[in-house]
Amino acid sequence: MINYQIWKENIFNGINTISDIETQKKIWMGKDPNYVSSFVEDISTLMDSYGFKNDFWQDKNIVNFYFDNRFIQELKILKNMILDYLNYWNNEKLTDEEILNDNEWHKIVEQAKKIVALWPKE
Amino acid sequence: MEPGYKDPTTGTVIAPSDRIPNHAPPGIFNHLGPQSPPQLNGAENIMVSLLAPVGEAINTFISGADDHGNKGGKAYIKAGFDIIAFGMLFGGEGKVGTPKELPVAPKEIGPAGDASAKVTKQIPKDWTKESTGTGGTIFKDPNNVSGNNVRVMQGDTESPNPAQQVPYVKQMQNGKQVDVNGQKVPSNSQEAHIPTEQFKFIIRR
Repeated sequence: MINYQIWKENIFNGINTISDIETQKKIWMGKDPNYVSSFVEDISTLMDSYGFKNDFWQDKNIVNFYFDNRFIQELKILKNMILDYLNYWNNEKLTDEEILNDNEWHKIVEQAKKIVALWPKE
Repeated sequence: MEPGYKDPTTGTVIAPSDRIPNHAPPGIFNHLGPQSPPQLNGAENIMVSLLAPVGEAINTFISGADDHGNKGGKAYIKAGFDIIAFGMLFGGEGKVGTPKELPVAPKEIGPAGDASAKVTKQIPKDWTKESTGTGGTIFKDPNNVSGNNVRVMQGDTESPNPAQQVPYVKQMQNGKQVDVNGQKVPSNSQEAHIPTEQFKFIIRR
């Protein structure tokens, strides 16, 4: 049975990770002794493991998060920005270091920050 | 004068001197009739010899077809198989050589990130499978898509993180990341990255 409270926390954690470029610089570049990640891993965690690419958006699921429509629009903007960036990344074969210095990635980070700030308080 | 080979599909007659070989293996070119089989160079002869079992199998198939009254298409079917077989050998990247010189591709039977299917074969049959778009594959419990899932990733030899330099698996049980023994761990911990070779499916639904 689906636990929407845990799913919601996971979505928040995934977006929060995307919003923190300083942590990305440390962890993606292997400079943190305790944690491991990469562009591919952070994106796959949010989009695939946490279902932000497809499952979250299904009618039968999204109603259980109790988000208002304006907030859902912000989430949709982020999802589409990430999907567009994945296409770009696949074509350009960017390294993690290049992504960290890429203005298009910075726009995604900013949108993620906006969502974290708007995240409904329980 | 020795007769040439008349291509059954085009009707073109190829002179014996134009690449008509002298020792095709059994099963290859047998449909050409009594004339000499095509002449090939050394490397091609080796390659053709590798085709012998294929040719024999095709002839067996054709013979079976003959028994059921399909004689009329025999030469055409056989020619088609020969063309496909030679295309497979001499086509591709255009490299021709002895068997020792040919690159040996790894046996890939699984999806992206799991070429050996080490992970795939442990996943319950009713789970869904999707490409991640990042070089991996995710398997999901249809009754709890975001809670129970297994994601297998290719790994990146250039990664500064050793745990991500080899193919690895991330698995979630009831919405929590778990290690190889099913213990809860932080999503971005070393332990959450399970080397594909060590993966054991432990998710309880």
